[in-house]
Amino acid sequence: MALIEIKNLSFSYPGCSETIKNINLSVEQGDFVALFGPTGSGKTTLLRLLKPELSPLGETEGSILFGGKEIKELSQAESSAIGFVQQSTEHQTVTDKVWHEIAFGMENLNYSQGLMSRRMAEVSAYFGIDGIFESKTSEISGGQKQLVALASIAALDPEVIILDEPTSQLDPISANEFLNALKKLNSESGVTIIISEHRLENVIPLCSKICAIDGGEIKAYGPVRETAEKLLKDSKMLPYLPGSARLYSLLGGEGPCPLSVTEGRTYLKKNTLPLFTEEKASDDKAEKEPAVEFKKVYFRYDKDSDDVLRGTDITAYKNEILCILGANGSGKTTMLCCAAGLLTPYSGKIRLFGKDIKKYKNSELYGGVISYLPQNPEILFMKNTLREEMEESGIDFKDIPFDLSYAADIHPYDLSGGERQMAAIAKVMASKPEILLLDEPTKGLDPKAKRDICEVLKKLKEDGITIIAVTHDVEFAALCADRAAMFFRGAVTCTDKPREFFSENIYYTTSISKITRDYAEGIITDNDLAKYIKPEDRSR
Amino acid sequence: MTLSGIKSVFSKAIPFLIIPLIVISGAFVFRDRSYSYIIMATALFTLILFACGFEQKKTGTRRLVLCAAFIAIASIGRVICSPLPGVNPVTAITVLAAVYLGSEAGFAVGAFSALTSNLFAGMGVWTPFQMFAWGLIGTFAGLLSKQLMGSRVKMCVYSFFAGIVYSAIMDIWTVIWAYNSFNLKAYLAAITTALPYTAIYAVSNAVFAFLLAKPFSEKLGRIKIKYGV
Amino acid sequence: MKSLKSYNPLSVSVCFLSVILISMFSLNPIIIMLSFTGGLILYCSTPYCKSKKIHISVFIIIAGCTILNPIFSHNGKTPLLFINNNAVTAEALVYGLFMGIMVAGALYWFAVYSEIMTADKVVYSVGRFFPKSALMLTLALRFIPVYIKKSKEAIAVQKTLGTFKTDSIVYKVKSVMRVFSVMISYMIENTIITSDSMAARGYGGGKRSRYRIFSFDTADCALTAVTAVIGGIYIAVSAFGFLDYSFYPSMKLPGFETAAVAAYSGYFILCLIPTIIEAGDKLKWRLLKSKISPSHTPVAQKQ
Repeated sequence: MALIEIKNLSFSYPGCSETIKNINLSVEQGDFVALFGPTGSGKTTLLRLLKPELSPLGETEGSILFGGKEIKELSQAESSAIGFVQQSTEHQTVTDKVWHEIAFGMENLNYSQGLMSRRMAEVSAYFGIDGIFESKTSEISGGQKQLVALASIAALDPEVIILDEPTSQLDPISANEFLNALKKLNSESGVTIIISEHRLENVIPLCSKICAIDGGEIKAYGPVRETAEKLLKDSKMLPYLPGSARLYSLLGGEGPCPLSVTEGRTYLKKNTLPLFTEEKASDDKAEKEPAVEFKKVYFRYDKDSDDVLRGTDITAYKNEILCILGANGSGKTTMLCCAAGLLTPYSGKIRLFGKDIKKYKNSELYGGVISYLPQNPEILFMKNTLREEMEESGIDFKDIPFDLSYAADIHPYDLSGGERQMAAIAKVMASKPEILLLDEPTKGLDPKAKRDICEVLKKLKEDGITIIAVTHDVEFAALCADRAAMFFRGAVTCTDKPREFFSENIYYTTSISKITRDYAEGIITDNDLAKYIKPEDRSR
Repeated sequence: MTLSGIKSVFSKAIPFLIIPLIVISGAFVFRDRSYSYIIMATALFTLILFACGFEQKKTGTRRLVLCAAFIAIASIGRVICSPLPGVNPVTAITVLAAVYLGSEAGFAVGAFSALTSNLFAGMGVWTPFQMFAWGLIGTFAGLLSKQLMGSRVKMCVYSFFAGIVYSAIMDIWTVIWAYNSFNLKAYLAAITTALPYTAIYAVSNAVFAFLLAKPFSEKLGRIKIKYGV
Repeated sequence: MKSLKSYNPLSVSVCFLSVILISMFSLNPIIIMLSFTGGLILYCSTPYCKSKKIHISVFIIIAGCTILNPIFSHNGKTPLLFINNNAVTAEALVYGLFMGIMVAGALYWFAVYSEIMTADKVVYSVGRFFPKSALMLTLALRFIPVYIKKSKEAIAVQKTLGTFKTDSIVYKVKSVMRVFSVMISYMIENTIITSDSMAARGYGGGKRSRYRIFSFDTADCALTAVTAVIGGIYIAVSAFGFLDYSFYPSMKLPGFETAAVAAYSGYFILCLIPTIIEAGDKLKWRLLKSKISPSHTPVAQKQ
């Protein structure tokens, strides 16, 4: 008998059409299932229906059986066998101390002191969080918070853990760490995992099954390779699959579909590569006008703390998109804040269009020179609908380079991640700045929204705007940057065109580049791939 | 009679028998300063009784979290405003919480904002009195919620008078504590010296209530509809 | 011996609050002086309190009370001088002085007490009796740093939007209100995620237990017992009137009957206990350190 059995499940929110349409799904004990699909496809709704306490209000048809029992009829103790981890690292943390956060679930289920002590010791050691056991939850990183959330649920001895985009707010390193912890739970302790994710690159190697969902319907479900092969023809689902699968699909694909970088490389080795290398596009040597210049900038937050920026030297030229990549805590965001005039370095010069930033008056600086969009765009919104929000900033829907008018009457917090990011960009662009600073503009977005943001940025660039984006997202940088820079310990280590930048990087690069780098130079994105494959090979 | 039966009888007897007993007998022990003792004990026990009421009343999870959020923002507001004498948003936020979430929530937000902000601003003998005063303001605002709801002006007026009552309570306590009797002259003196402070406090309460009422009611209204808080 | 910080918050609270409350509800000058002395010694000897500013406030409080009291109170038999036909009496002056000393003593005690009672200890103590309130307190303590961080970000964004101006008071109020409005949205919307996270972990189902991170050991029992015994003696002696004192109409010596002396000495011991505990802890570590000195770790040297 399957652990979770979903039969003919349909669901609709009050006054809306069906979000979930007639879904049939069964998950076996010990499965590791990844759920993916566009934003708004009903992933979150489906996952929440699997956890009785979080079931959304609305009309449900069909049945969900957990261990043979209707899910709505589970007792509190039985329901604790289903764990649920949400997306937001910040807000799903309930208490102020790590130990209390881990104990919280057990307290709710009335565990005894002795049992709690034992479980806490176990999970802290298991997840390697004993070092932060007595820390405040406000002082640990997002990745650690997510691990603590997982530990808190693992302490309840769950049979299945459901995770709703748990890594979307994390940087790639912490995301991988988190996924590894999940894998450990799954393979060592037999916990069933159901996870929804936007990017399968790192999840697929851990999975036993994948499930594609779109428009509230299941497109494909089953063992990884089989299902992935089914989806290769689906242009809407293809971008979610790993780079190797996309490459395989472009090549017309024979034999089993490769799903990891290693498999992709083996695949290329076996099949003669129909790629050809074009001569590099010539460098335009034309003198460019600098828009933002950092000259040996040093910054620290406190007199006694360490330098965060250690001699940062970087120039963003007028009318380009500069992407700055780098690890967490390397000082990227600090650099952006310095460029926005929000922080003042203690040494070095920052010039905007050749003029020292200190010589700008605030009204001048923020009234048409520079704009800054922080990581979480929600802190820009305060009105009840997007329309009021736009009116408040004095923007007409017609004036923005993308369409948002369809969402005019939606509350800003109800917008999808991509829409919210667009709206935020529109808001910060209201002052018609010449420089736009973006912090992690693609955080938590699905591939389509990422591409949309990319298009928007390119359009803005065409209008003569200089864009500096700080990001962890190599795929995004490869797709939209004119130049990419690597930030390390408070300084820029290298700046290059994305093509050179990513093809010379070995580890910090796109998966397509990792797969193709031995065979062809400068292929870093899907577009490059499409361009570089001989037409006759494509039809093969 | 079972143990739990004894326990329940005991817990019902506490408010009517035991507390007055403790208050009265204590007055004989601390006879030098019996009045100070009595007001202190009364404030503390009222606080405990209200807290027991809050403990026993079933509060939905979302409501509880909202209360905590109000407490957090009130405490931050109080600490931020501390350089300005007499200005803080605690009363206004307590009143708003009480009006929209009920009088238990009002009590909890008022009393615990005082406790939480004192964790940063410093604990002292005044802590229970502040908790008592703000808790009371919240409780009454909750009882009057039908009248106050939807009217910014009424909320401002209530907050204004709440500010005056707050100062009056604090002054009564100060005077009784210092003289162990109600020295009218000293009380008037205390009120007069605190008058500018009280005035600023009452007016700033009204201003805060006026400014915060609209965003609070709109945003809470949405949550109430969308998630059924 | 362990330091006060590692005692159970309940036993520490019982001890400190007994000292403070007894001194607050007594007019007996000896009790007031003992409490003040104990507080001063504790404050100066503990490693937690470094600030010297408190002594200035203490001086101001004592001076202020001494000067102000005779202005409002004209009781007492010994006029020193007359202002506006009102007598300034020696009794009122001394009464003010002792009131000041009492408040000042409480200030020292509370300063050390606040230093020991960190937020999680307060939550623990409240939770012992009011679990729901304590949970709410924990949530609030969790939210505070998040909101502070977010407000800072919101201010930064409003600045770059050109909507955070501090040029005039009207702009300032408007700007602050905008940030407030942003924060209210942020806070209210996100409470839903938090409450979902609580529900997902079984909150609201029924009886809860409480993980106790502070244990109540023999030392705590001893501290509580000693406090209870001394407190009991004090209450008994006080109830029989041995400790009664009045500054008006004229000052006299406080009572020195055997019972009163017992109460004084008991109370003084109570006032010194926290200092003794701290000193004992310091001594223990000094002894241990000399034992753990390099010459006593021969294993590494032999190899």
